[in-house]
Amino acid sequence: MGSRYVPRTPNRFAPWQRLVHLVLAMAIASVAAVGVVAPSRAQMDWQQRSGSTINLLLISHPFVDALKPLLPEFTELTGIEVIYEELAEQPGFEKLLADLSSQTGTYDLFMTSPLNNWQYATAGWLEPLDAYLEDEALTDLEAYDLDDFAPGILASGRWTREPMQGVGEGPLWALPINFETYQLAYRPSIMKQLGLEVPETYAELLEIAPNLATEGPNGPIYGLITRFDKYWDLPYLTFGTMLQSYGVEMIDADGSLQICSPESIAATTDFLNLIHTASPEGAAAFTWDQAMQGFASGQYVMSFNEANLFAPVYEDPSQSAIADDVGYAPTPLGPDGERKAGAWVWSMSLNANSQDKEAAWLFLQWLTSKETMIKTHLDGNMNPVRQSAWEDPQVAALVENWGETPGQYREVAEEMAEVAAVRFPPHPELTRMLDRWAEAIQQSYFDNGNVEENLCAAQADIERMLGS
Amino acid sequence: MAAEWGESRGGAGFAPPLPNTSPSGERKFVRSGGLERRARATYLAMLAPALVLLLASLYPFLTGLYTGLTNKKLYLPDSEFIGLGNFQTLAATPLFWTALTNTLVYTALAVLIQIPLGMAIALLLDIPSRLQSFLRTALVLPLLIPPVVAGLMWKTMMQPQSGILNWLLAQVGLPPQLWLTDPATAMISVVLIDSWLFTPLATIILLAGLQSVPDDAIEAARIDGATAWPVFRDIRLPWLVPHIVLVALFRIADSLKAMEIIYATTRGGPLDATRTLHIMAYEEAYRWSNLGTAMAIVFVLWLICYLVSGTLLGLWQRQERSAYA
Amino acid sequence: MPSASRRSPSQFVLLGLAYAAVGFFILFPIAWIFLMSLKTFGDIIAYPPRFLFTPTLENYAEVLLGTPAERAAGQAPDFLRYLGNSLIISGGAVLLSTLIGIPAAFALARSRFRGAGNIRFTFLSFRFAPELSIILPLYLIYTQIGLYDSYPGMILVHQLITLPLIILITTGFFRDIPPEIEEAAALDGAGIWSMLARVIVPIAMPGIASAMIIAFIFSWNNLIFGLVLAGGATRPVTMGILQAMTFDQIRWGLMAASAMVAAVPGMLVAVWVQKHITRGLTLGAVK
Repeated sequence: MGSRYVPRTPNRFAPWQRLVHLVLAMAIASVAAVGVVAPSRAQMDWQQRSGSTINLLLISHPFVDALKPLLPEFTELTGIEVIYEELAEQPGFEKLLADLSSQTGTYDLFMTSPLNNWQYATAGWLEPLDAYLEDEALTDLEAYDLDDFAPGILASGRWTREPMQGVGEGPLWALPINFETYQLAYRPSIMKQLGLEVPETYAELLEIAPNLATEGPNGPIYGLITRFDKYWDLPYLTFGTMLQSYGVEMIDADGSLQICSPESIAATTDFLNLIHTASPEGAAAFTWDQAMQGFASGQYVMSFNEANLFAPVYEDPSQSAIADDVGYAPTPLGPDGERKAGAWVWSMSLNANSQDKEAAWLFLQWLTSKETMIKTHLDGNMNPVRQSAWEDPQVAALVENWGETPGQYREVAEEMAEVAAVRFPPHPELTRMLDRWAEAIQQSYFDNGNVEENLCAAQADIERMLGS
Repeated sequence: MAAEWGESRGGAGFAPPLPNTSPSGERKFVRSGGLERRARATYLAMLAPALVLLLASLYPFLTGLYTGLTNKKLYLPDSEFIGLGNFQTLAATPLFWTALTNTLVYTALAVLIQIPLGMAIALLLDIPSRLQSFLRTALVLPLLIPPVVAGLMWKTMMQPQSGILNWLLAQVGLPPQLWLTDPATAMISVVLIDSWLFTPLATIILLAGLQSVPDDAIEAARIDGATAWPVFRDIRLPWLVPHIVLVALFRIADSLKAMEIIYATTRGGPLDATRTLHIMAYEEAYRWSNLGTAMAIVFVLWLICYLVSGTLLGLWQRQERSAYA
Repeated sequence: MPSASRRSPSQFVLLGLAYAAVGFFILFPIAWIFLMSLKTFGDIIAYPPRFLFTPTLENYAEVLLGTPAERAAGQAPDFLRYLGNSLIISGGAVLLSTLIGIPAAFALARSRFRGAGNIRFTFLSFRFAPELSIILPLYLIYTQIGLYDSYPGMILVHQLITLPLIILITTGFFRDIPPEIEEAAALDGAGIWSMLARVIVPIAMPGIASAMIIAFIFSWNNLIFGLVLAGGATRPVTMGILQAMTFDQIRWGLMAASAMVAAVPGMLVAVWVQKHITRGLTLGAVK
């Protein structure tokens, strides 16, 4: 764009003055030109990859149910066809592993989590996303508003790829879609009938545990239910919430394992006490779906440190017997008055071997944008990871009636969200170590050695795993 | 042992001689020289496509086995050849021996339950009656449920607090069981599910065998005054031995590598009560990414299967030959 | 066993008890699953277990017609497509295995090879290999040569299940046929192939039919090949049933209904094949 400035009085200025005017004019004109170009930075072309096709691997989740009807919108916006495969969690991750390890790039995008990504990133199977975010031709960063994401949750997708450290820094391997944290769920009518208050600390819970049982119309109602099988999610998520509230993190600031520490032993002993007192026999084999179903069928007074994502099922009269009699509370405080919680963040990552990364990125950007995310939340995708979504009046109205009192679910969720984080050392084989930890806890339930012995044996094994 | 399978007594193999045929009687239809050569060529041609197909599957199998000789991890591109290193590590791992024991126990229980039970039901369904064809058709139903789905369904039925099984037990005054949730009862519970699924298989094969027992032999014995039990013991059972061996071989091969039922119900727990070798291999590969170790375990499993089946065949072969010596 | 009209009362009662016991053992779980398919989620997880309830056809509607959302959008449900896929894959696999396997089994039964026994044992040994040992290398090979998510690819890999079964079961039944029959046919001037087709196969039909249905069932129920080597286009029905496992629960009613629908083809094949299984091999005519 050339300068259009033309001197109006050609003979009034000396030649050097004319030169200065010319230079000044060009300067002004270029600034004006830049000013006209600047607004177009916000208009990246959504149609730039029109005609391509992308393939998604999706893990069954209400998020996926909410996403499916929105896919035609994306195709209209971008001209990109979307095909997908939806699988349950176990087979889904198996299939994903088969594909990623063979590096064929069958799937361009897939659902994952920070825990899994520690392995995938180590293997080089993930595409770092920062370059795409910063590429103006591909991303409208203003509209996207990266700061709108809850900082801790977005940070869980970053990792430097150094074992045992660096979570929250380094390249961004995934963008979050929703997250889950943990809470107490209880039956208000039965609590009243038993004359009990919802416990605020673990000590209080242990006190009332022996009294947490009654007879229901269909048989006994047991005290509490939670998942408890020999699986990594026990110390990572549900019991993990209790551990962290006792001040136990798997690795402390000095890098030493805390599995066998006095606080960990105390937390485990209290947990086993709780289960022995308030849960029926066979409790040490409950999987997460049995924990949810058990509570929903009305056979338990309390659901302990279980996923707040189960709430929609509890609230649905066609799926639970307790829809009009359920309340939520934050998980109890630990002995030092601390409350911390685990978090599970469903995210989506880009396959490093994808044949069309730009098209895949366009999808990822569209999916995690404010508008699309709110639409999915309204259709059942919980919990929102963007602050703007929590503030959206429709989303707030959706969960208004969940719980004993209006707005209870949202209050508890927000409170838990403040203390929820992934407090584990990144390691490609972390699940194996956590499995070993869970095994020690389960052994202690079956009276197979005492708690301290089992935990210390597990710690020794895990140290060996870290060393190798 | 394997070579003997087709070669005893002039190659009769499976079928014992018919009554009134001399044991050393030549059971092969012999052709004249030139025709014999053409016959052999034809037989080769008949065999060829099947052999080609199955040999083609050797390649992925050998690749998998080779991985068992490395320390390959699923998420690392490179791996080193470590020879028998995985096997040495496994031998030193207590869990491996537990899994081995569990695998053998599972197989033994399954075969010891399913063959006699299958035989009993086959005999029952051989009796002419109005319910016969209905039951024979209904027999197939458990086989039509995929093992994983059956496992999941049985898991709810076996739930100690809310499952239908304990409720039924309570109705007839029996104490409730812990089924899959207790280490002491988990194994037999899983075998029960396996038996529900696969006894019909034994029954189908044995029933077809019963149907093919020659009528004239039975008639002859009846005329001589034999009642049901001697008829069974002396005529039908010997005729069925090859079929029993066949069922045993199938069930042994399948039980040794049983995984889907266990995976759907207990995933190897509680406390490793149902951890078999295949489950251990699966977890090593998919949950812990140790592909090398997983393939080593798989090789051990394959070897056990080979040895057990071969021994069974050899024993049966020897017994047959001594009976007709 | 005397025929029904000549049975004593005590035999009658014993027989009845035996039938009842066997019937209960085999059929009660099936009946329970069937009831589950007619219940709502609330009824399923209720305790004590409900035998009396208001049945709902919603589960079957979702399986056969799609979810309410899908129905509203006019989309066909995937489950019927999966059913069709399984029919193509398992039916095709069994047909191919029968075509290849019957001649092979005959050759093994009749031939005088030194190594015939070895070959037979080799076929059996293919049942020894856990699928885990080949599935990852196979995935890599399949994607590289374009067999991933294709019907030929699935039919081919299912040969690992169906071919050994058909060969081993039918070899046994072929051996049961006495050589006199072949002698008679040869005297009439029949070649080996036509003897096989016109004489041997009809006589051994019960065995062949049993083999085919067993092979069909095992192929139909297979999960792992369908999980790893099939994509969206050729996904079999076993995967379809597992779709009822969602993120937070197992939708038992839906799973039960899908299992029931998926069992229908197998039932039809079994009933059709029954006719052949029950006709016995009567050697009296030959003697």
